[in-house]
Amino acid sequence: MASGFRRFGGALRGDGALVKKVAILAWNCWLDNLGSRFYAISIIFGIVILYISLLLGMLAADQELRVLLDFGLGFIELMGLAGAVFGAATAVLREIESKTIYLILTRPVSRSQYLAGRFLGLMFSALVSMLIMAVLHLAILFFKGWTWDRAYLLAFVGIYFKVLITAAVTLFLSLFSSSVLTAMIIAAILWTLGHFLPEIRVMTPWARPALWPLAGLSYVIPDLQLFNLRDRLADPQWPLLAWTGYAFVYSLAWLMLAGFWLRKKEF
Amino acid sequence: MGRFLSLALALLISAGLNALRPMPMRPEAPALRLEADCAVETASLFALGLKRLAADLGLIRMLIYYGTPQSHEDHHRAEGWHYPQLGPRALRILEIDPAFSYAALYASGALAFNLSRPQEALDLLEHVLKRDPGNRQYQLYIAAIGFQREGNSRKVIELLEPVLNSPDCPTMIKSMMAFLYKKSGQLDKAVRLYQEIIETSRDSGYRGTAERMLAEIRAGRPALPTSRPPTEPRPRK
Repeated sequence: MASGFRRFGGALRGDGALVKKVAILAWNCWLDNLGSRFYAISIIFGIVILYISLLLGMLAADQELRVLLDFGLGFIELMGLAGAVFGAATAVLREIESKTIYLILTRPVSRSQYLAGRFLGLMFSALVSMLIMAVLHLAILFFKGWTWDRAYLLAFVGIYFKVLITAAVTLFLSLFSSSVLTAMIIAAILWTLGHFLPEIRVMTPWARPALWPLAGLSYVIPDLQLFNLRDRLADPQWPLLAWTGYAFVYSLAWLMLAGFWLRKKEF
Repeated sequence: MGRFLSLALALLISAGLNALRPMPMRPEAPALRLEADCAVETASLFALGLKRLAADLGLIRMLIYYGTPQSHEDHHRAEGWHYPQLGPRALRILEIDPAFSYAALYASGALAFNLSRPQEALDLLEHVLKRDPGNRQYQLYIAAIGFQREGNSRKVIELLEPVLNSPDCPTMIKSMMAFLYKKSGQLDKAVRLYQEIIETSRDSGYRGTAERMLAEIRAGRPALPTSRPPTEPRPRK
């Protein structure tokens, strides 16, 4: 892992543009992920499962295409999420533990730039793995007679936004708790709660003071159900621009918190 | 004291009578009981944000349920009714994904046209129609089942014809319509529909039936005389 940074270390010398520094860090993070066993296994596992989904589709008779579509999109999401959450929980902590972070921070790179680079690299890795699975998924769908629907693209974008937000929160949690396991468990809990937000808000009216903490929490937890476009494929009303804004602002807020925490961290 | 005793006795007798009272002949419609066996699976999929997939698995379970011959014990438990859980299972799917009208269309079609329980089918359709009042397919099904009850095949054909072009139209309904075409002497339409089933259906059971029927029509055999609603083969093998 450190070799990758050494290779590109020269580029970090001097006062390169901020974007360039972040891009180099992101590229290195992507290369690191590409070489990691977890990344390769998750992609292979995803491809095998997508192939096996053909059997499930056959059981659904008339609705084979729907089942293949739903199963594929759902699985792409879960695999993308697993990769991104694992990556976000380990990315910085592992480098702190192995002290390789010093190799980077002794260069003219701020901690925030380092964090941004790692996160962007991680998200690029997640995007590539999800795209690989989506290509195979689409191949299966086309083979089965599916015709292209723009809803697929939108559903994919929705999935990616969910992964993006969860990874940003996980990155903060990993720095905050200094524990990979804790960060991943809390991320999983937030993922679950994020899908029940509409229900939580209905069940926790402000009139009941005992439920205020939960009601308040429901405005902090990311509303992942909002991005569950694949659950609303039949509904053409998708305010994509607003949701893109939500995803980026929410992720940015958690990244800034993570950056703040990293700046204060002593190692 | 005596009053309390007589009241307790009356309550006991009433409870006993309630317990002895025979079960209704069919499950109460909208109170159709949802079963708990796959509740954990559904909850897990919900938690992961995979609502549509939960509905899909519900449909697969329903198709397997309807395609599995029932044992003698099942019949006995079900008070003589075949597949008593067909309606509840469809409702459960619709609860998970209200847009998945195929489940309701499939179950109501099977209940009305295959199992000769049109009232149950109507109860199911009325229930789902309340949630989706604009769904034209549900409305047409209700009307068609009404005419089917009266034995008016011509009206059934007239009502269900527009449904055939819908992507949500179950093969079971296409197969039944083809049979009605054949029965009413509209052989061209019957041939076209059977061919469509052979070309597009992913269910080998219906494809086999369509091939057999086509062969019959091409051999010039007369339509099978029948006085009762057309009975379709079960969809799964």
